[in-house]
Amino acid sequence: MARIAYQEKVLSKNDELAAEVRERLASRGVFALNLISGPGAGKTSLVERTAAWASGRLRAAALSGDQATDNDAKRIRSAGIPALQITTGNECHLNAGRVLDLLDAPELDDIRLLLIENVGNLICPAAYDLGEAAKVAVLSVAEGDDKPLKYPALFQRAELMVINKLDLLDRTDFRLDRAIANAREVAPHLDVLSLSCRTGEGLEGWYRWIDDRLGRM
Amino acid sequence: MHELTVAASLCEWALGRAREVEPRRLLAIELERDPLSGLNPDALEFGFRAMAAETELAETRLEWVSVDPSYACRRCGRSERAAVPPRSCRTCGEAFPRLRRDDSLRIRSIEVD
Repeated sequence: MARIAYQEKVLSKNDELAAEVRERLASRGVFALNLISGPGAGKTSLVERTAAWASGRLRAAALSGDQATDNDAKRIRSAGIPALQITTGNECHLNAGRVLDLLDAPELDDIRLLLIENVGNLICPAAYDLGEAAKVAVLSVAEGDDKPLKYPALFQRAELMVINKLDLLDRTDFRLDRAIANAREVAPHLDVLSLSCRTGEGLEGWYRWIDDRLGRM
Repeated sequence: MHELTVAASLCEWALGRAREVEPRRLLAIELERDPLSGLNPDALEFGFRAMAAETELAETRLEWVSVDPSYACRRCGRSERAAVPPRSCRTCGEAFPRLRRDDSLRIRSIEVD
């Protein structure tokens, strides 16, 4: 018997495709965000708000992942930017191959900002590199403020945590300070923004964050 | 929940190695997993067994090794494994080395007869 040593990632094929996506987006000057949350935290609402902000300012598009329906893509298109739906069937996450397949779609021509709304799930999407510039973890005050402790993989891989539904804060036991402390415990590097897609509170900070990142490209 | 797709990637990789080492048999695959992988080894093993049935991998064992997550400094590139996220790089002092991208499940070795 013999042992042969390897140091190879099991998801190396996905990583190769993600590297291709990243290179092609960079060559086109596209800043891509991978938005990840549990179902119902407000990813689509955040994309809708961002679409309205982007109108007349910069060309943007969205890819929206769900196991079924194109409801989210329809909502985003109504908000003013092109959107393509990726229906994953039984899969609980997007992968780089699915993004790569859509890079030449006319809806993505000449864009500067690509918003990728992942399938609603706090676990599996965190494991897959899509070729994005940054992962954004979206949390809402309707969830537990200990989510970052329970699902550290996502928060450690994200650049930014967005806490949505601030308008509901006084109706829940969610504590902003505790959520931020929990997030920084598992991911000390994390930027944090609190906002409400419903009322618009705090959205200026989100737009500034995107502007700042676009300016660094 | 994504164990089946990971199992498919592993099976594809292992079939390639099994054909490389023929006529020897691939007896075992040693896998490194860190706690941030989000993977349940039993579920991955179940998927692997289902996909490996009636292939050269039908008898191949999966062996698991638990490791700490791997962090890399964005300035100097130094990487280290740590149970909790390091606050700074031990070589250059840069703040907050980051989790290495998608490095939570690695193939460490294979055993052939």
